[in-house]
Amino acid sequence: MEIILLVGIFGIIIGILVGLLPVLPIYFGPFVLYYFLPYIELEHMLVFWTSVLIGSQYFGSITTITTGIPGEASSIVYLNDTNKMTLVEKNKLLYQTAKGSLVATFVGVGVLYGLVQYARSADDLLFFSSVNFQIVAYTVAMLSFILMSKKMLVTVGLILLAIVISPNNNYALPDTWFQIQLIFQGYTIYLVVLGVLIIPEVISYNSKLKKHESHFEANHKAKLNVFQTIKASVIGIISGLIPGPNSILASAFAYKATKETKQKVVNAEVANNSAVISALLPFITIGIPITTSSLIFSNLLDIKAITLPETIFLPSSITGVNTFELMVVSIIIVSVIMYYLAINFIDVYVKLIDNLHNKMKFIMIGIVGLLIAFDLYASELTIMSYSLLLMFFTAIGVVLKNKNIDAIPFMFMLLLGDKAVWTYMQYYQINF
Amino acid sequence: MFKFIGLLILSLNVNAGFLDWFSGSDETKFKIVNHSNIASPGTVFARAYTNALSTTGAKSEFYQARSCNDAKKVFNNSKDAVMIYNTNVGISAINKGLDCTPDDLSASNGLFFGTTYYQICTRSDSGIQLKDAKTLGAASVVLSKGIINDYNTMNDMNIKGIPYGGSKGVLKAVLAGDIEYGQIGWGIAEPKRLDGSLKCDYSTDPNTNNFVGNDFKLQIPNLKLNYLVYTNSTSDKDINTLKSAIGTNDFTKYIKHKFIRNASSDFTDDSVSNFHHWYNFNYNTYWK
Repeated sequence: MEIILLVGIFGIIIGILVGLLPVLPIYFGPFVLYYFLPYIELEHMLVFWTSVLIGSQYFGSITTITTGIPGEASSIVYLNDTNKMTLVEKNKLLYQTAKGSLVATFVGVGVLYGLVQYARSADDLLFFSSVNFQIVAYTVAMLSFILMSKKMLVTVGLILLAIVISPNNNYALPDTWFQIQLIFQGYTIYLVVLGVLIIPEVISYNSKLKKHESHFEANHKAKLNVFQTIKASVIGIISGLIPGPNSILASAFAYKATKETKQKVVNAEVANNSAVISALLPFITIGIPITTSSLIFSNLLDIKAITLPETIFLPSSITGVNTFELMVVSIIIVSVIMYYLAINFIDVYVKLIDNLHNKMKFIMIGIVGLLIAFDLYASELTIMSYSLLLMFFTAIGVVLKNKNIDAIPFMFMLLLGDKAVWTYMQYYQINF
Repeated sequence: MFKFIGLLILSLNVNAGFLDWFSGSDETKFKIVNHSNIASPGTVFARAYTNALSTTGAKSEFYQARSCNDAKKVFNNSKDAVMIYNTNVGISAINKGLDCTPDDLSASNGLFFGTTYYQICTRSDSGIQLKDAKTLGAASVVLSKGIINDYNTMNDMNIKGIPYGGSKGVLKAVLAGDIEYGQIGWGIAEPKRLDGSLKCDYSTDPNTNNFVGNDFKLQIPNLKLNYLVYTNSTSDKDINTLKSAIGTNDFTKYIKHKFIRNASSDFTDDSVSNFHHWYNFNYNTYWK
């Protein structure tokens, strides 16, 4: 129980920082978890991860509304609207977005709980683990990555590279694959995430803070439009099931679902909260991660040899409660705490952003150094091999960043490539 | 850019120094190296052993290798490492140009030996008999050309072998209807057989009534997964600690629950030569 509380508090702190500071991406949560893996169990991992997810959504809007920089990617959609608002309007919004987020989390959790219980009793779910469904899912994912890319050939090349290096212990592959794999032997997913995503982000980070008001106070008397909030929650729940950056999509769809400017902002914030919850559904029921954050979390489970749909319903350390129920209760409690924190102490957060934002590049260099040191310490590579691989992946990341090409397809296929390769091989052998 | 690299190297050095100081301890920390696929019963075994070791108060860390030669390299380069060896992985890897033979195995560093067999199952509502089946799924490390060839040429069948990462994948595929039959690790198939989802017509255990060798002509009908645990630790105290994990209540329950036969921690020269005999016989018969 003590560890769960500790992990929950740590998750809340990281979640708040991820929400407040744009340089920290949402997948930073599971990334941090990697370093504590030997000491924690599935229930701790889930409590921490969901706390970060929820915290980032609550606090992303605070950064955007108060300082005019998007705290998290899903806030970008309404950035221009909040920049034009008066202090009075912003104070109202701070309260409405937090309260709306609380409602959305409750609606999302209710739907998640109901659907997961239904899924547990439904035999039809076997269809989702069939080779036919999986082949369609992987093919659609890859084609959509390629077709949506600005540089299709580069994306195809990246997907192929990911497919070549991702398989693990696959003795059905030809001998040559094992020879190619020797080049990349010992790489860790965290080395790749650092190289392809985090280091290029830190190198290019150059956001200047705009002038903003010095005192904010959430207006606790501001009214929430219940109908619009429920509508945006439902939009969020549905959008959350779309693979990829679903919380950004949820915000964009909910934003467009009304004409009134202030309500658009509230809708966008409401929808991303329910989206991050519903995105857990395919992961929990059929073990398919559909967001970057859940992909990294799925890799952590692989390292611990845990299959989520089989394990999440096992008893937790709290008597009478299984791990899934513990996660649900934790989401509710964390959400209430986040709501309280999000409507109070706003000036403290703004001061924190003001103080940290311009120094963030240097702070991140320190954090990246610590992450690399940890990863190198835990990996089985020599310093030379680690450095060469890190340079290789950083070079890919920097080129992609400079050419404005999305690195997510590469990460997606790197993390799911092993399963995709098995699926294609099985489909081929069964049908041809 | 150069400023960034300089600061990063400085930060890396400071952090590495901190980690080195933080991790300094005289207490032995065992590294458990697993080379089985995550979906294999071998990984379940490796996890069970690691958990049992932690109940003795020993410190350990788990390393999930990406291939068997990765595992061998880590085992050889680590102090106080424990290899969880799945014979089927070693045998199938030979054809991939990898040398994963446990040539450093001896009576003095062996900790455990045990065997589990497979059940050959179909979905309970499939209405198909093995002799008429068109597809048989199995872990890729068991699914040799030789075994499929035996079914087709010696038993007049027309069956295709479909490879999976491990028995968990085979089980899912059988239940989803992707394949007609699956050869599934005993402990993984049993719960589904008991709840009526699977019909397991045959097994590879020669001591059962439905032994596949009774009805089908196969060169090696008693296919099995041999678990082998050995260490590179030379300290008697550490070896005793590692052996004590095998006698814990949890591990004993696991062995019984997962139907691991001939489980023993009494390692002799005979155990080593029996192991090598099975290894070579299986490879020469089905994989070479």
